[in-house]
Amino acid sequence: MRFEPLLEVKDLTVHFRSEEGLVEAVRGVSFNVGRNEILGLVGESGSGKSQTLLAIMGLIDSPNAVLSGSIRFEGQELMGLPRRALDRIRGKKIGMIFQDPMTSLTPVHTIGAQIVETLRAHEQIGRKAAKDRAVELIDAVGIPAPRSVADRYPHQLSGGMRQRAVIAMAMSCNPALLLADEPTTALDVTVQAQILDLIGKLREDFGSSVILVTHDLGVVAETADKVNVMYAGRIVEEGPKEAVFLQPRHPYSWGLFGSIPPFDGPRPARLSAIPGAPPKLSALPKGCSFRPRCPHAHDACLQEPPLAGPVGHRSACVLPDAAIEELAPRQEGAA
Amino acid sequence: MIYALAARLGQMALVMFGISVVVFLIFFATPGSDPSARIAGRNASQETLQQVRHDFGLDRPLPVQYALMMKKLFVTRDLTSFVNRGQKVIPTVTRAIPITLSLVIGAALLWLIGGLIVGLIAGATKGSWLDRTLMMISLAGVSMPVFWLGEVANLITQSRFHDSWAFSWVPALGYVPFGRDPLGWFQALVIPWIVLATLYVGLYGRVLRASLIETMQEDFIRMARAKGIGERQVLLRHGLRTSLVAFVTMFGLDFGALVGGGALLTEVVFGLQGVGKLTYDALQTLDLPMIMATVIYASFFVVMANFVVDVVHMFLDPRVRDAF
Amino acid sequence: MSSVEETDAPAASRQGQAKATESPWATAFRKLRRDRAAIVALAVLVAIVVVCLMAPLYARHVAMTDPFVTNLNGTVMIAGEERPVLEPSTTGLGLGLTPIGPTWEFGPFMLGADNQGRDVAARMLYGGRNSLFIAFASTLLCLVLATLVGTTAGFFGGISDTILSRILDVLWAFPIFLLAISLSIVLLNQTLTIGPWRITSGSLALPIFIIGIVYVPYVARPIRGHVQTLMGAEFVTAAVGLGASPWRILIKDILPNVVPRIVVFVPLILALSMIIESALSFLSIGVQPPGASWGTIIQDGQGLLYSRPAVALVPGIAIAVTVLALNILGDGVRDALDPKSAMRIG
Repeated sequence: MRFEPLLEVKDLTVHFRSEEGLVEAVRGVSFNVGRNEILGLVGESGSGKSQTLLAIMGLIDSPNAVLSGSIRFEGQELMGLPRRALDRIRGKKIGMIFQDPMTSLTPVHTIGAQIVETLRAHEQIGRKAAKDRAVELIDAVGIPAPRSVADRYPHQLSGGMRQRAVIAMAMSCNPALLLADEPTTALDVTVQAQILDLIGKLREDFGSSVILVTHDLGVVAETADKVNVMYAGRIVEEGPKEAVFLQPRHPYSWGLFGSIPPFDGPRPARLSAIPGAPPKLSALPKGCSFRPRCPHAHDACLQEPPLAGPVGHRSACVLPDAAIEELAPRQEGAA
Repeated sequence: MIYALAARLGQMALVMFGISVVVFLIFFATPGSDPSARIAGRNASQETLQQVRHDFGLDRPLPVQYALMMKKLFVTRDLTSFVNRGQKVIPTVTRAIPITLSLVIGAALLWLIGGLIVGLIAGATKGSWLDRTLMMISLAGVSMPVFWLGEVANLITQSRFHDSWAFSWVPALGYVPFGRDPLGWFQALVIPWIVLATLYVGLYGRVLRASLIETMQEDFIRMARAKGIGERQVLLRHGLRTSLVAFVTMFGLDFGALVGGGALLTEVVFGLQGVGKLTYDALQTLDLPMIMATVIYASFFVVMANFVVDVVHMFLDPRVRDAF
Repeated sequence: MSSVEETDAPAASRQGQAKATESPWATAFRKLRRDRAAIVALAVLVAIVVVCLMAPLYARHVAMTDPFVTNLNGTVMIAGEERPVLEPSTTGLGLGLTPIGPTWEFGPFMLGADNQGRDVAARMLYGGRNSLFIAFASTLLCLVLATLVGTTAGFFGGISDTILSRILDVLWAFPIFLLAISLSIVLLNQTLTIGPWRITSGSLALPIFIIGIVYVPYVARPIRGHVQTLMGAEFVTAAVGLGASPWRILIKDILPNVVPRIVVFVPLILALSMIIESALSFLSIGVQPPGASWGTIIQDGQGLLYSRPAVALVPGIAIAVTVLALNILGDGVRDALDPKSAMRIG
């Protein structure tokens, strides 16, 4: 058997036509996800990370959206797949969790009914058996009294419980890939940790791969194997978690990691913040899109830099390796 | 929940009381003229006026007058008309109710089905030419006065095209009791049904479309799509089912309002002797006791319809159920 | 370095800010101007109002009759032939008189005569004037009352909210036509004196009053809810925290946010008022003879429906076109003022 990543995204672009011109949400993003691997997709809001996930799931349905590139899942091209064929994959082989558990469950159906619906859409299973499976799943994600919760409505559960229910729904058909779009952002801190533990545990129990989209570096540090840093619709740095956290190569990553306090050691006198704001996606600057905010910008930055660098840890910056070595702030103890 | 229902019932009683007081005040306490003259009708004799004054306790304080009127309406049910001498008002109203119900129920079925179809198609094809066409037609339907549309229908089916094959089956205006001739009942009512429903198909189609479009932008719709269930199921089980709450609420209110007098214009134009026509005729002859009776009965029906709507709402929307 | 900083990005963000600081009203107007259907509807409405305002000119110079006096024995020259306005009936049993039909020429009896021999076209214009005036006045009354009641209930809460809400409940449960009938049967044939105002029978004030009242709950309830939501908003909490007086909060913070909601209601209540006015006049409890409104002309035409259908059809078409235009304009105004309708990406 030829080695093949589970998911292979190549040159994915997502553009929206809008009143203010073309909004370039995702611009030529390529990455792979291997089996049983957790990939963290990090960036500020508007960096295109959520749109990347939605594109993989075929959920961008705006008539103003223009998509191109390739998304291969288990060797099958998803881009341009007709709805019927797509529906045989989503929910079954790819599960998805959304940011806000308060709004991602249909308010008029019980939790159990919504899980049963997914099961019966993809498997030959009777109503009764599906209900039992739903209760098992609700139990598996750590919700107490699963049988009674199955008959509850979404509004009767707390945010954390709802997110667990959403995860149970996403995992109901043992998907090979789980897409998690900011799964903890809307939750309390203590609940966040529990949900992350759960996602990590699911990988072990179900053997699924996960793409975790977040702007919270702590979340990535805790769970991911690989990290992609996105800025203005592009991947600006990619590599194993340890490498990206300990030796970030892109000036944007420096700023990003500099803006969280170190886990241990003395607190720096001042946390650095990245000056300026992310560019408008409808009016991107020429060349490197981080250029206007970058302290090291120079004329060479007027050319769009390609992803380059040592094998497995690449960044999109024109600075030579020596300069990167010299300029990069030391990160001690992160990750 | 039992407590909630009881509270709602109490509120309903309060509103009914309020309505009866308002009606009473309108008829008995409006400044300017003598209520006995109004009740007795035009050109009443001194003798009649005296009797009215005594019967309704007009020389006694207002609360007593109110109690006497309520007694006549609900306890002894012997309110009599002075225009049509000796006609007992309440039984007349009771006899008219089946006619109004026949008209409104038939039209309601039509407009529910029509509104559902129009709203669903337009909502699902939002922005297309089909959507725009349906919405324009709906808006036109909403914009026509129902009595005028009824006259146009009469002009076509009773006069201009009555001899053509299309409308030769249309009977002369009037009502045929269902028990006597079911087919005749249907034939007599089908044109009024369509006319009355036209307005509401447009209204309901527009409301459902708007509600559906809003719902289809919710996160849970994206979640449902991510589950890999077909678009039809997403639309019906998640989109429509959630939007239906507003639809049903509106239906209860409109149904109540129509039975409670809203169908008056349709009844007048099509010569159906329902409660509305009764009120209309009473208005022409200034038969005040009759109007009092129809107004009170109709308002109570509306209040009851509102109550039923609340209960149905509770069953449709689990969130409301728990809020009680 | 310095050359790098001269980029187009700051320019773009400046532009973005200029747009962000545009007032909500300016944004709404910009959106409304681009809504072609709404603009056409507005043009139609303006045209209808202008034409109706010219009623006296039309009656004097085109119809050349007084459309408010009966004209049973009049004659009219049509195609060089003198014909009676009321002709012996040619249909049915041939009994009675049938008014002259439409000539479809710009002159006397363009739309024919009613059963009193009056020029229908001239009455249409005068009737339109009344219909439009009643609709405008009752909408104004309704919105003022609804804003007063809704804001008071929402802003002060407590006992005033309870009382006002119950009153609205009662009014809401009242079938509109029955309320109107009850009020008009008592008020129609007498002079009503409320404080300094005297409303004589047959006055337009009566239908205006009735129509203005019945839709108050329809508008007041959403306003009350909106004010309540605003009261919980952070900028109001902040104003309270800064020690602003209730009146200041009401005028500076609450009302400016309520006004767009009220504006959205204007075309819709106008449309509803037009419909209700026509219905009341049709039931002969609206505009009183010899005055006219589109509703009364439909009623005049009811008896002539099969012989001279134009008398009933034309005012109905006029109502339908006006109300349709109002509804289209209403949709446009709502879309322009409702932030929910703003374009979403993704």
